[in-house]
Amino acid sequence: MSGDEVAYYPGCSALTTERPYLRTAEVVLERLGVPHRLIDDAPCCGTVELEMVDRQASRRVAEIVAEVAGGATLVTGCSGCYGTLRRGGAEVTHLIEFLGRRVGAEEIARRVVRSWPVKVAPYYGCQALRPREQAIDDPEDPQILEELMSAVGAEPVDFRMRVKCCGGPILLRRPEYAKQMARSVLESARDAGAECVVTICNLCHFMLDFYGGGILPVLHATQPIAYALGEPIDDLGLEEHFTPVPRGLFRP
Amino acid sequence: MSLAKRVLEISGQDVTKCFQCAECTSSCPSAGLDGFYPHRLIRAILLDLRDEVFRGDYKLCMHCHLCSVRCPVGLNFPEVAIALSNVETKERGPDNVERAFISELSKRAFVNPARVALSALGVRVLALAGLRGLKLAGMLAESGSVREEYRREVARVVRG
Repeated sequence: MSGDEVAYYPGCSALTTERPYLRTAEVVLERLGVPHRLIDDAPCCGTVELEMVDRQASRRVAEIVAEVAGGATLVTGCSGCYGTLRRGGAEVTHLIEFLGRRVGAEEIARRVVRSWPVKVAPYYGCQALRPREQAIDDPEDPQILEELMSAVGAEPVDFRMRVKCCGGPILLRRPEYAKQMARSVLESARDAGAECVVTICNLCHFMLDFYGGGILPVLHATQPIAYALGEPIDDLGLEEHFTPVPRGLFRP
Repeated sequence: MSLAKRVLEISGQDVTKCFQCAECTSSCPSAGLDGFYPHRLIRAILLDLRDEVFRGDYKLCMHCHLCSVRCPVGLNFPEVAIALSNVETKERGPDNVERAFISELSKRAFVNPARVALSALGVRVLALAGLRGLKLAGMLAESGSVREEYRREVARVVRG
């Protein structure tokens, strides 16, 4: 059962390389007045590697995470964790679905205190859209992230790789190929005229930010939303990105 | 027991429904990599060609699920890959990447991706944390081997 409180599951990477995602996700929930607490005592979801070793163990981990969430609404901003926990039987909501459907893009637009007029490439990756049973929107033609970006004043651009894989899952097995995939996502966003890419997953962000060849800055979707809701630029964690984010992207 | 039956048992995926249209292969971002073609693999499962199936290319599945939303008979290939891997792990033990991941997970219930990457590549690391650790792992994964400068970095992190 889901209560009014959100129990936020950050995912491992949000505690190491992707800390700005966790921080700005909390900022957004805070500024929207959503009661929330951080789950900091649950195990790693095990991701697909644990499923590959033992399906049953993966289900058990999902149970544990759901138990820790208790009666609160279990929310995660990491599509990898989201997919793994869903497949393991946990009732979990993706942060972007929570913002776009529970809170609503219109409500967010109403609370915007400064616009973010940037040409942005909304990148979905895979796990939030597929398989169909766990899709937060249409598996091949979603709009939810475009709606959120429009709500904060951005201009979303369409690009070829927006629902394709970042390469992350085979990074350890075929690093060169994985890297090539990450780069092709950014190339297609650049060719579509985007000034930056926004992601909705820890691993996608790591892949594009670290392996994208510095073609474009890669933001977490919650960074521009936090900015538009009034969070100071200095608190967005922009300096923690591997690919530098030009300050000009956030015009004060 | 036949492979097709084991797969059905573990994943609920009935590969006998496949009629080889190859929609999966035409959707697959890994298709062609090391001879990996999902529809051929399904066929090999049906024919119980264990050597062919466990050649290991099914681990190139990225779990992107483009095939599963397009398959006309509703087969979920990533679930088939997971089932095959579960079978293989039972018979032969986990591969290096999985072993590294699981040992990390079972020791601390928390995975530092950097440590996993390093132990998957055969590096023993005592302590690696935070941003620098993961940057390092990324570079290691990229090079596929431990280069000297990264060796020094590891030593510094461990001492530090």
